[in-house]
Amino acid sequence: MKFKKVIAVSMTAAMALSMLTACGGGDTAADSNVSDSSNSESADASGGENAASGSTDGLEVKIWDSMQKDGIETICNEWSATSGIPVNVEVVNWDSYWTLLEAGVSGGEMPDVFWSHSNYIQKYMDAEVLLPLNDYIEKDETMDLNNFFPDIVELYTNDDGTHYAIPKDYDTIALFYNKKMFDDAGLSYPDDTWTWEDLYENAKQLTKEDGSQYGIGINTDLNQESYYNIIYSYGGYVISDDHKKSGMDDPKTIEAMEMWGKVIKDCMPPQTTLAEADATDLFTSGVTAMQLAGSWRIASLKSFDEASDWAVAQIPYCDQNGNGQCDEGERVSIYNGLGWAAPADCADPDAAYSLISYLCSKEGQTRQAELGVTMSAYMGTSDSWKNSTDLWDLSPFLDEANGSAKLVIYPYSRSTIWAEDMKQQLVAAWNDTSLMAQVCQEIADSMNAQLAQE
Amino acid sequence: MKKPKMTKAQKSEAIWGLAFVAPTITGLLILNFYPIVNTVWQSFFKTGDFGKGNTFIGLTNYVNVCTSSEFWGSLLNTVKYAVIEVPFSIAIALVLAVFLNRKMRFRSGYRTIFFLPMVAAPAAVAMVWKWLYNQRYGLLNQIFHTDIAWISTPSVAWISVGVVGVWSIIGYNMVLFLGGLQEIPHDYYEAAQIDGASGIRQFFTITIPLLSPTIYFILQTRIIAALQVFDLIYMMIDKTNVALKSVQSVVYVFYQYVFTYDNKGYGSTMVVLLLIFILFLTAALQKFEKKFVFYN
Repeated sequence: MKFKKVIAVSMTAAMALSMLTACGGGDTAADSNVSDSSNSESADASGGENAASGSTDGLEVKIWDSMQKDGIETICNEWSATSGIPVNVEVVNWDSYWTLLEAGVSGGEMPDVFWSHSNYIQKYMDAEVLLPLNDYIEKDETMDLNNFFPDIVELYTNDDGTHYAIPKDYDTIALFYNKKMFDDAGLSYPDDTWTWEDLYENAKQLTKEDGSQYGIGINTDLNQESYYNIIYSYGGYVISDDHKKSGMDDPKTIEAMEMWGKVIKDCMPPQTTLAEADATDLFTSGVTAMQLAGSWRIASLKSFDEASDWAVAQIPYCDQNGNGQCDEGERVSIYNGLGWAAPADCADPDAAYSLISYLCSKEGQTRQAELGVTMSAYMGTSDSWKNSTDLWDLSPFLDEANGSAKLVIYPYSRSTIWAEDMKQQLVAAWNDTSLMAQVCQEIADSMNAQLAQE
Repeated sequence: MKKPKMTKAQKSEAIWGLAFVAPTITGLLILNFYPIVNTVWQSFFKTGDFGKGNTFIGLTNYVNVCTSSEFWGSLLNTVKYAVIEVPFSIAIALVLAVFLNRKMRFRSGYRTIFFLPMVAAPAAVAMVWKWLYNQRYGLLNQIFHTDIAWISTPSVAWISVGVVGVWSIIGYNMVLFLGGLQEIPHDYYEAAQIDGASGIRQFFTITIPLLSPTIYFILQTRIIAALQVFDLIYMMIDKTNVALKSVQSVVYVFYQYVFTYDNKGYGSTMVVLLLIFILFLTAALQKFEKKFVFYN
């Protein structure tokens, strides 16, 4: 009986506690705009655990990439040193991040400063839950949005011209390869003369019959790093410029995907392997010889012991006109950029903007590149990113941004749900590449249906 | 009829009683009843972003869910999972409990070992099993020298997930059975032994009938829990796994709709239908209760 009592007491306590925290959350949120004394008193009494969101206790910063945490923290601390406001940087993984942020909007408790992404931003802008930054930018002499990549600025600007986030970074895609495997196979290393067909031929020779080694391994979820690039370099498109129509049934898109189907069929591990083990892990563990990788992966790739075996080349191109050289628009790197945003009901909007302003200032953006966090969205500040590691020459990533490739912004629409669907629909084509054209047609149909509802 | 008036002592006892259960009542109201009502409410709406701008669409969600093959497929997957988890976890746990109910060395040690999976977080359990099952690096394929994609072959994956479900729940069922076994008076077994009944005969004619209330209780709670399976599938089966369609449960699809596709109305409809399904099943089980359960 004693045991039962203990359980009963602890369960009641747990329930009471969870209620307390729930109430605490609600009250602190109300506290910022309600001046009724009794209300704020009760918030003080029960809302102690929400320390980070109060204005006096510092700013809460949320990001989703743990590899960037140290660098971001360093830059935030530099801001704290001058502003005197402590900053707490927290990492939540991608999926949970958006669940958490959404709950934060409904529950009125969002982080003070956080990352936003093109897949989700439109929904947040439409709901007007983000802090409009126009007034702040106008008053801020150091801030000039013309310094950033215009596509990325546009991502975070609503139709009426309101800016809801300031660009943080940008990324390009390049080809990682394992030098040792190329040496063993007697092949010459990839360079900027490679077309996608060259990639196929070499990958095929690097694939061993017994399944111990493959040319390349890309699962359906790595859209930005693989097939999106190929589609655009073949002259196709994923979504029309007005974000209203799918381009997955465009003949050139299908041509690109059919070419990619050859690579999948002859040079890749079975899709079951790709779905069970992360594709990048297969490269780092020496199962695949090449990997298309976004610049955001550098921070994690350089921590591997085998890193010195690898090197980087520019992303291959498609010789559309067949003249044997890479002309304009034939080499494409999909790029995207995150933005720093703050919530509309921010407890201390001035402090939040001040931090964003510092993170996006020339100084902050240069620091971000220097520390090797990622390439910065402020044009001309990323050169030092190249020097953040001496393992590889990272210039292919930067060259692509400086004119050797056409940069195409990551395809998005109001709510980019179709991109998630596409990842699952393509699994069928990965398993049986003869279905590729049919699957692309199906994707186009369901994507158009979704776009019509937006 | 007039209600008898409460004495002062009775009154104060009632007040104190209420005061003591008040935290639980409010907790249930806020954490359980309010969400249930809200979910049913939402299932009649096309939900807007962040819970604003919901538009009433009547039974449209219900029509859409009931005509989608995805929902029926996931319901079938869920039932398939329950068909593995419930009977096997009960049968194995019952046999283990009978063995561990005897006097033997290291008895509490064994009991602890079997109960351990219950203590581990389900997400952690799923992660470990995911790697055991891994086709390329997994321990299972290494030991048996096989090359089976345990969780990526549509015809095998649902069994693999079910096995993990059985493994993680055995200990819990076993403890409940041990409790039930200890309430069976020893005289029955002594009498049976004098009459020359074998151990197996004793098990089927004494243990099972006298344990039937416990068996029935576990059966009912396990069916309800198994039909709500989510975490194992979510953690073990990657989104790009080709077997996903033949493994995903109703709650998994619900999660996809609510949190990935941001379609809360549609998701709510799915769980309301699941709730109705479970209600019917439980009601049917209650009807059979008198037939199968032997109360002393």
